[in-house]
Amino acid sequence: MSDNSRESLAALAQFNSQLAMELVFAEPGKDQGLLPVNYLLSQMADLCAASPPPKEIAFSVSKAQEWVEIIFLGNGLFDADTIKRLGEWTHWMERAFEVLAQGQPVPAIPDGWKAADDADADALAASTVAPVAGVANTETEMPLIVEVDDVEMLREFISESYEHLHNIEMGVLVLEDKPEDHDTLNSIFRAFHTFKGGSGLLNLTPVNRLAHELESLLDLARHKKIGISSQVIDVILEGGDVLKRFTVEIEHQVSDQRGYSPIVIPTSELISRVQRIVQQGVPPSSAPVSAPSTPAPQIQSTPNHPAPATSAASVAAATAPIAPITDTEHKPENKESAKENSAARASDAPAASSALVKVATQKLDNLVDLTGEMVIAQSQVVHDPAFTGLADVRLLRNLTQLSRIANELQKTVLSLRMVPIRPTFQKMTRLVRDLATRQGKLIELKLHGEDTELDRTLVEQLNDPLVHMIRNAVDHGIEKDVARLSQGKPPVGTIELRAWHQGGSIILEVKDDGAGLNRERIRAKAIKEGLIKQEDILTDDEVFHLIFEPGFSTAEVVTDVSGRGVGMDVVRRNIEQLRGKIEILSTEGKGSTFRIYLPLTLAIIDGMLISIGTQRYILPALLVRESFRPTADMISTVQGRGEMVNVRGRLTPLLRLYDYFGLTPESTDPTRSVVVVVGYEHQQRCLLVDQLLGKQEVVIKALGETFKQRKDFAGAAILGDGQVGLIIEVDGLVNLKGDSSRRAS
Amino acid sequence: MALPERNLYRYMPIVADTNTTSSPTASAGKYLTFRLKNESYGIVVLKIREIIRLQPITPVPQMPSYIKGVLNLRGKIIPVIDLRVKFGLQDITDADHNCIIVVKIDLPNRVSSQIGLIVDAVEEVINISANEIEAAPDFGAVLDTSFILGLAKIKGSVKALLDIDRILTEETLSALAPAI
Repeated sequence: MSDNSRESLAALAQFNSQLAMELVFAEPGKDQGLLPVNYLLSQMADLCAASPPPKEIAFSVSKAQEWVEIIFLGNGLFDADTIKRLGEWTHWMERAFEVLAQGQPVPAIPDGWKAADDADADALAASTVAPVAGVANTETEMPLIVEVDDVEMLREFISESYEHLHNIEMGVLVLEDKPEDHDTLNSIFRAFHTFKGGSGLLNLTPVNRLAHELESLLDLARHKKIGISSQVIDVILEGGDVLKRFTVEIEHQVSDQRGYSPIVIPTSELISRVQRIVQQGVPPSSAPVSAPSTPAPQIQSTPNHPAPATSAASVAAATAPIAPITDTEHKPENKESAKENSAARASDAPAASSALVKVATQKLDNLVDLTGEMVIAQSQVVHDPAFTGLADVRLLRNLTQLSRIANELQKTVLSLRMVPIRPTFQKMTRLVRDLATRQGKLIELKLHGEDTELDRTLVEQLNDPLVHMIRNAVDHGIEKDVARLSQGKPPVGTIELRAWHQGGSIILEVKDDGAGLNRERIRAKAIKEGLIKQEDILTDDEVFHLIFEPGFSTAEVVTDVSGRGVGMDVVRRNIEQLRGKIEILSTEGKGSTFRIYLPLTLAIIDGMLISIGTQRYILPALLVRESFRPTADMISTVQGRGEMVNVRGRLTPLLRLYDYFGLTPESTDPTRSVVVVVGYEHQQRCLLVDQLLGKQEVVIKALGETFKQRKDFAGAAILGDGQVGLIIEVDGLVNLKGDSSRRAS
Repeated sequence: MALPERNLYRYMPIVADTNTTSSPTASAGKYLTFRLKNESYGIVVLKIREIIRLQPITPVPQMPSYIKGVLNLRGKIIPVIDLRVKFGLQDITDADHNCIIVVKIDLPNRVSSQIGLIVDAVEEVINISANEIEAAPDFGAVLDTSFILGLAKIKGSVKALLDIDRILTEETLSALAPAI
């Protein structure tokens, strides 16, 4: 193989892994990720044209391009089918690159692609009902035709289905660890059963059939006729996915109101697999449950799964507890109880949700605003001079009571926006399972503190960084079992995801017991990239933070796995947008811990109130490093203008805020003012202010359209006296380019 | 002067009058008129949210002089514009007569927001009929009349009818960026 083509293959593999990352965020009915996917595919096609790879690769790239093309020709939104197919596609490509690198021939192209593609094209053109024959499947796929007069009933079915599907997924993940858990088995069985009933009633035949098969499978498991092997878990999960795709499609058509068209999602292959398991039976301990199944089981469309082990182990054996693969793996008591809990909660969930009321966030925000105002008005009344002179005990008591209620009310109102982090964490369970299976690693994900509550918007925006970090931990943190054993570690890697409250912030921790960060290699890479100089002396913390620099691929530094690194700079940027910070602890060979500190809510920040002249401003306390009154010898200048303060040996630029804001300060002499050091590790700045007025929790308000260009203000807050105080965006100030004195008005 | 301004506070917010439309040219309907120095102006009542007394305004540094800053309107932060400065009239700070008209404006990007306008005094709400309205004359380069919808002659005095949506146009908004 020539160097040229090897390079181009490496580039293709890189694009492929980026594409896989984009797909994680793709959702049916949305266009999120569509443009990046399209862009990446066209890049791959260009590469293929420039230096032709094996023809299978070129063919599959053109195939994937066609699929995306179809989406663009259609409504421009992803559908569940394409997402699934692209997912399989990236798996296949990944596998193909792996074997190519070892000099072996490319695996055969799954036939299903051709067929599915035709089906798609037909479905697009289809105004008439036309069941499409899958080439790969001997049986005709039955299209799902929605023919329901009672839309209400259908809607109810859809919303129930989501609940069931969620329970199934959660239940299966519990089962994976604890196959003999009877309650969980029962709850999954019931979910499929209800699904079957509902779909039967609504004449959703393919759904009904699939649910029926899965139900029989679970029934057998329930009666201990078959064991829960990884195969069984795979088909259940896959079945759940297919049912979900149906549900999503149906929901689409219901909300679309443009009438119903047939939905074709292949099920017969899956059904035949389920049937085979049912017929042959899987002996209860034929495969270790937590071991990953074959590296890429999903890519072959012709079912060629290893036949269940020949043993016809007695039914009685099923009752025996399944031995863990290694003794070191489990700490039984702890885990049992944790799983018990989560299983119990999973079945509680539907009951709990019925007691909830959905409220528009706008209304909630108004409520927060008004309550804030009420607290201020209340405090103005209480501190009114007319009252302070009075010695009426009863009045004073009532006023105190009023303040207490007002504060309690404000606290409650603010807590309305808080939701537990559980759903976000649970998504990670699935992610870890899929990633580990694909990479042939043994990984256990432990969750702690799923009940920790935080702001709803925060939860939504945490999803992406968490996905990045978990992916990073799986890709680069945890080693393969062989490597682990040779280092004397247990073969099963552990990733711990933890959340807890501490003071006014919430802390999230992603901890793995993998390879850890290699200090010297990060340093070497940073020097090569020109981020630091050879002679720079950096603390561990500073070195580790280098991996957050843009373009600093951890892949090349920390491990040799190529091109999988997702820029950690994205993680840091996301966290900083949420006004949080991130900390790394790592020991080489022992593992890494990433700790994210976040404010409890986006609506409130811990502010440092400062004054300049007659004006008051707020600095986010999280970014305030220290403050002091400087002495004259601490301040030096460059070229007569650039002022610097010597903060414990570190020269930090000084920004006279009054100058920048065009205000008249109490004093222009720094030794009679206060210097506040703000910023992050590498970018700090000293701000000269008149006075520090104290710390205060403030509710952040947007400044609105008029001031949206202002990068130096994060928003505004209403201070105790009802006046508005502007919140300074430290990031904006720190990055101010040019001479500040020029800006003074 | 149908209503003394004190009473007006109590009558606000004004309920929308369906007779008026917000077409680009001035149309007949109800207008709130107010005074800036010795000139009189009008704004379609549909746009008006409320009228409040002048209250402490927090200045935002490095903004054009007519943007006075922001104030707290029952928990919402709204920007405040001094119309006298905006129109190049003298800035008189005769606090007793100053008040703030809160209007809802639709920005070109279809976002609507509230802004406060500092005026000398609110006069009254009047019905202006179509035949009382004249198009604004073109003063050429001397005066930008792009945000004047028309002129109304009522009882011998002239009232300029403002297109309040255009007070903060795209150009002005971008001019608000700190690099002034």
